[in-house]
Amino acid sequence: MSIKPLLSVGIDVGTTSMHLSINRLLLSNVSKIGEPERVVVSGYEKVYASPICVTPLTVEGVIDADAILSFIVQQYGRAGVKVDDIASGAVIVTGETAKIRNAEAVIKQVSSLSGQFVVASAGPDFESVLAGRGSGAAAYSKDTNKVICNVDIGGGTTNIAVFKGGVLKSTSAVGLGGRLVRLTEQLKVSKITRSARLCFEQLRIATESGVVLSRSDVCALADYAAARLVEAITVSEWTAPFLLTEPLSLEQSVDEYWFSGGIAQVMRDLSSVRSDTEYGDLGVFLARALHARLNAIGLCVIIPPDAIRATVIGASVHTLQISGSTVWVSENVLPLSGIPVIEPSTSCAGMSAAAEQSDRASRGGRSALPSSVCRPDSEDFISRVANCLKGQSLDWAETAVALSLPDIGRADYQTTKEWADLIVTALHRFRARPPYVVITPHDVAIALGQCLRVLIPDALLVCLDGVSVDGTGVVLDIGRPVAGAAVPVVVKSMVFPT
Amino acid sequence: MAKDAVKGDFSESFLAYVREQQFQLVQTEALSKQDFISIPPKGKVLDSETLMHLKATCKSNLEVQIVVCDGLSALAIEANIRDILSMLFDGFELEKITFGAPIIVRYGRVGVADQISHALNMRLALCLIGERPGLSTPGSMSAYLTYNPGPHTISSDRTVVSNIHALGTMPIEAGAHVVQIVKRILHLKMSGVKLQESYTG
Repeated sequence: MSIKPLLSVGIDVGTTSMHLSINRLLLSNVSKIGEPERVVVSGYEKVYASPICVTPLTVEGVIDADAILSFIVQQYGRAGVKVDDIASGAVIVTGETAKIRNAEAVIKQVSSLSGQFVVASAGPDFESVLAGRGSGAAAYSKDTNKVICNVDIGGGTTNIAVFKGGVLKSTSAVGLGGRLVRLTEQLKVSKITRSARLCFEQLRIATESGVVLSRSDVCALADYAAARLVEAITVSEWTAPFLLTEPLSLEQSVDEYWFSGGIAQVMRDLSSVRSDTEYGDLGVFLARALHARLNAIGLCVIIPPDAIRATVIGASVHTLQISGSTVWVSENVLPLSGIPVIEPSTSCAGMSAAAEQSDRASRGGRSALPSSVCRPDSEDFISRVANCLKGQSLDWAETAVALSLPDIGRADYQTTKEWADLIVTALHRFRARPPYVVITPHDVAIALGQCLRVLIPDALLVCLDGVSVDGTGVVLDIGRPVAGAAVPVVVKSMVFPT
Repeated sequence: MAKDAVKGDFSESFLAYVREQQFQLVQTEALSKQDFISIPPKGKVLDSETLMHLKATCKSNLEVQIVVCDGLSALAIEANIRDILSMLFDGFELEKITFGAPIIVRYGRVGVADQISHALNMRLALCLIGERPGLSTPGSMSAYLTYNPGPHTISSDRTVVSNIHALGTMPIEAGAHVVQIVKRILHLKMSGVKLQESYTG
């Protein structure tokens, strides 16, 4: 059965520039004949890539949401795409905290463009992951089983992600980028960031907005930033005031460094740079300094094609998961957005710790057969749910929450019914706000859904499997079905600057 | 392993379960497992006496008839039938779909479900049957769903859910999935290839 491709958009609104990319996600059914459909994103085709524009700011110096909306509408027009045709995607707003204090409002406005539009906003760690997937580093790491570190250097931030065998190992973000300072052609500083001030302090260069720097001072600044960046990607647990997140944890030596983002693009085309101040900032200097340092220490450096678009490609192509097709979704519940996930671990009566561990180890494939039955332990489970809610400051009575179930072991009828009983007990106990969203690690969502409906027949219920929602503090967007009952799911980490 | 599965008959404990549940147990025209394997058409029909007996003792004129055949793996039925039937019973009740109690057929092939369901004037035949044992497992079951079953039924009229076992589609999941397919078949009044086309078209 052929499945209609999905149009997906990635929008990156950064400190310096913004752009978008529209892709056609190809979906395939990979199940065998007679089995329920199993839909996966099997590839993508580029439909449109916008020009890279300067991020519009209001007079107050924050992101201008209206201008961004009109940019998007205009680009959709050029692409020949209607808003309603876009089935999924993500908008990423990142960069300097001061400029993006209205990020949440921007994202809400952008998402109002279309009901089908599944929107993910990002914290710096999430952006690091997207850049690493969009650049192709993650896929290359999977294919070759190498340890690849993707370094996406933008205007305000550098996003770092390490993959081994395609699996994310560590992420970090550093507040260094091409727009540390804005420079005129005469090297007059027109704007200076907090990070740049720190650099100048260390270099003992006194400067302010409006000062004309010597060429050697600019080069010193660029070299200082480049040196810190090299440390950030080569030193495990590096500490510095430039860190925006936890430092990178490097358990294994990195085989290859992939560079993406605007600075990577400049680094590749250094010979064709027209002027050092071509971008009105430190970008060209930084690219040159970094290039020299990387060469000097002899790291294996790769700059993939389309390096500057890594994040938007990641946002468009790699944010989406497709659920299993045997799932239960009540009518007219979807789409849902911003549903926080709680993941109460469990201790199972009748399941030894060792068995639990081996089950977890053998999991991962849909067909992994747990070795033993996990009977729910009611009071234990309820208290673990309570702890999760408390830990994430959630009131289930106020906010719809997605309950990500622990490994329930071999799911026979009796066990599944017991779990359904327990879930309903929890719903009552916490006076849970509908819709009730349940994610199961095994391929039993429609069965669990039916068991739940027997108990709460008219409840608004979304019961899914086939999606991986690992990580605490993540939230889900769930779109309308794409093929049969399979629905698109975006897992996002929601970290807005405060 | 595969050979044993094909030759295997319903076990004593399974027959005890069938009696306990008060399910009807019948046999096709095949006289033995060997006969069933050598002369396939025999597995598709009950003799007229058996059919008369079912007509006299079973419910009729409902939406779904559940027929359980050993097919080529009685083992598959024994391993998976309890879970899938529990889910089917719950699901049909939830969806207000009327159904006749399962009829267990020894030496049965898919066609016998059409004959039985037609005789009882059921709208849909739901046949749960042991699959030919494969490399991966001797215990895999399939569910065949046929709208308006009868002598005219051909293979393309059937919708199938296959690979039902603990390592494939789990029996509880298959059960709940089949309930939704049954609902769709009854609503659209079609099954098999036509139903498949209704999804894409």
